[in-house]
Amino acid sequence: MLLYTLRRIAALAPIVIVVVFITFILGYFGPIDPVRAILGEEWEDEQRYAETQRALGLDRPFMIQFLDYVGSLFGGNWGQSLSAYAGVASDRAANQGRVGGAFFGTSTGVRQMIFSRLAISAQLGLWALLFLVIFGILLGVLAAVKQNTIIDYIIVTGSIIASSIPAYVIGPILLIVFVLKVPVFKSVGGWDGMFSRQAILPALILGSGPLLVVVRQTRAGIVEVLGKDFVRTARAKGMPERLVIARHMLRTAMIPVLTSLGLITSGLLLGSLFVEQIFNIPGIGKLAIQSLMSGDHPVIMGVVLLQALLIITVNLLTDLLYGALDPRVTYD
Amino acid sequence: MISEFEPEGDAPHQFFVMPAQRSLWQDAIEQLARNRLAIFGAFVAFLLLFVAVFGPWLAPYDYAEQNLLRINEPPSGDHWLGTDGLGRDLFTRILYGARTAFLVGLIVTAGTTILGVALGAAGAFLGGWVDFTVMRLADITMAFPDILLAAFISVIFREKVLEAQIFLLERYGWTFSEANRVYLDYLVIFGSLTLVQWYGKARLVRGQILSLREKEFIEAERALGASNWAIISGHLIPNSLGPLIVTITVGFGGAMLSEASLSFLGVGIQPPGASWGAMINDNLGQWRYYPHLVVMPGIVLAIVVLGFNFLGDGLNDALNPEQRRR
Repeated sequence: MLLYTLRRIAALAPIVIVVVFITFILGYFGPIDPVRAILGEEWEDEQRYAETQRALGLDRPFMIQFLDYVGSLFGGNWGQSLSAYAGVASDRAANQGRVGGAFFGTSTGVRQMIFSRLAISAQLGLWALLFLVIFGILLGVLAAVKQNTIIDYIIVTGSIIASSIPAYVIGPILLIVFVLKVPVFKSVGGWDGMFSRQAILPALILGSGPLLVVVRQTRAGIVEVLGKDFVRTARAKGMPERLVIARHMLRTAMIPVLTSLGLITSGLLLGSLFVEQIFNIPGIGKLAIQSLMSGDHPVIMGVVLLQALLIITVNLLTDLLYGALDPRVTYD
Repeated sequence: MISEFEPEGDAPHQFFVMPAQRSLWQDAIEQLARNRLAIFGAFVAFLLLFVAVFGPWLAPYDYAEQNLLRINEPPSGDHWLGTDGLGRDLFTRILYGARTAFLVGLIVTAGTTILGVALGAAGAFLGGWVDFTVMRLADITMAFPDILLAAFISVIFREKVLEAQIFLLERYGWTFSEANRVYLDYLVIFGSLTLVQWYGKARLVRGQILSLREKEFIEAERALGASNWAIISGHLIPNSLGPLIVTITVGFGGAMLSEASLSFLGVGIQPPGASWGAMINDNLGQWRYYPHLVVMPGIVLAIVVLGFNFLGDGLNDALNPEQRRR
C-alpha cells in the first residue's frame, strides 16, 4: 500500500509539472501586456517600455521566466494581480457588488486574493454538499427500493432534469418565482454569511448539479445488494426494513458514491462560475470571471492552477480511499 | 458444375424454420421507439436542425435589426416573444441562437470526434510511447477545470485570431466578411472547446479497441486467418460504433451547452451575434423588470440540453444492451 502510494505520487509529479507549464504558457500569451497595463498611454515610448519590462523581469527568456514562476510558487508567491498596476481594475467591479468588506483585503497578491475568497465559496459549497448528500442518497435509496415503479421513474427523470439544466437558466427562473411571484425572499444576491437567507437558493442550485450522479450511483448500489444473502439474513432475523437499508445495504452501496463524492466535493468547495455570477457572490468563481473580463491573467492562472492541483490530489486520494474502503481491492 | 459450388448457408433449412435475422440496429431502433423521453429528445434534435437550417426564412425580422422606439416590450402580436433592450425581436434572436448553437455543436463535435478517434486509435494500435503520450495528454487535460480553461483559452485565442484576421486583411485584402466578425467567434469557440473536450472520445475509442481485441471472437477471426484490416473494418469499427454514437450525441448537447456557458461568461459569441447564453447574460441585470428576456432563451436552452440528454440516454439503453441500467 505504501509502495503503491509512493508510486502513484511519483507518477503524478510529471503531470503536475506539465499542468503548471501549460498554465504558465496560457498566462504568457495572455491578452493583456502587463507593461502596457502599467504605462497606460505611455507604452509607445520605447525606452520607458523597455525599462518597465526589465523591472518586471519580462525581458528574460521564456524558460527563465517559467522557472522563476515555479520557484515563487514553491515560495508561496503566486504572482501579482495586474490590478496592482495602474490602468487595470479587476477588483473594481467586485466592490460595486453588495459584499461584506471584511472579505476583501487590499492585497493584490494572487494567493491572498484567492484564499480570501475561498472561505465564501467553501461555505456555499458546504451547504450545497449537505443538500446533495441528504437528498441524493434518500432519493437514490427510494428509487432502488421502488425499482421500476412510477416513483423510480419520477426520481430518475427528475434528477436528470435537475442536473442538466444549467445554473444560469434555473437561477434566474427561481429568482423570478421566489422574489417576484411568491415573495419568499426580499433581497437576493451578495453574501451575508453562511446562515443568511441569501445562501439558500444558490446552495440549492449548486447542489442540484451533481444530484444525478449521486442518485444513480446510490440506486445502482442498492439494487445490486437487494437480493443478496446477507440482506435476506438481516431480514430473516427480524430486523426492521429501515435498519436493513441503513446498516447493511447502504454500507455496501456507499463505496462508489463516496469515491465520486470526493471530486464533487472539491468542485463544490471551489465555487461555481455560474452560481456566483448570478447571485453576485464574491467567491472564487466570481473572481475568475472578473479576471477573465479584465484580462487579469495572473489571477486566472492562480485559479486554474489551484483547481487543477486540487483535482489531481482528490483523484489520487479517491483511488487510495477506494482501497481502504473496499477490502476486495488489492494493490501490487 | 456450378451448382456444386453453391454455398450451403443460403439453402433453406430442411427441418427448422429459422427466425429472420435481426441486426443490432433494428433492435436498437425498436427499443428507442418505445422510449418516450428519447423520442422527445429526437424530436427536439430534429426541430433544432430544422430551425438552424431554415431559421433565416422563418424569422419575421433580421437578427440585428434594432428598433429603439420599441425596446423591452412584452410578447405581442408584432413581436411574439417581445423585444430586447435594443428593440431586437426576441423570437428572431432565439431562432438565430439555434443556428449558433447547432453550428457550434456540429463543428466542435466533428473536431473532437476526429481528434479523439485518431488519437485513441493511434494509442491503442501503436502502443508504446504513442499510447503513453496520448493517455498522459488526456490525464493532463482532465486535470483542468474545463469551462474555466476553455474560457481562458478563448480569451487568448480571440486576440490571436483577431490579429491574424487584421494581418490577412491588411496584407492580402482577405476577409470572410467585412462588417460582421461573428465567424471569428465561431473559430475561437471551436478551437478552445475542441482542445478541452477531445479526451473523452480518445479514452473511449482506445478502451473499446483494447478490450475488443482480447475478445474470443476476434481471436477466432485471427485464427481463421483474417487480415488486420478485415478485423478492423468487420469487427472493431462496428462493435465500437454504439458507444461512440452515444458519446457523440451527449457530446453534441454538451458542446452546445459549453457554447452557451462561454457566451454567458462573455467570452463566447460577441455582439451582434445571437447566442442563448449571451442573451441570458445581457438581460440578467434586468430580471426584475423584464423577466421574459431572461426566461425565454433560458427555457429554450434547457429544453434543447434536456432533449439531447434524453436522446443520449435512450441511445445508450438501445445500443449498449449489455450495460443497460436495471
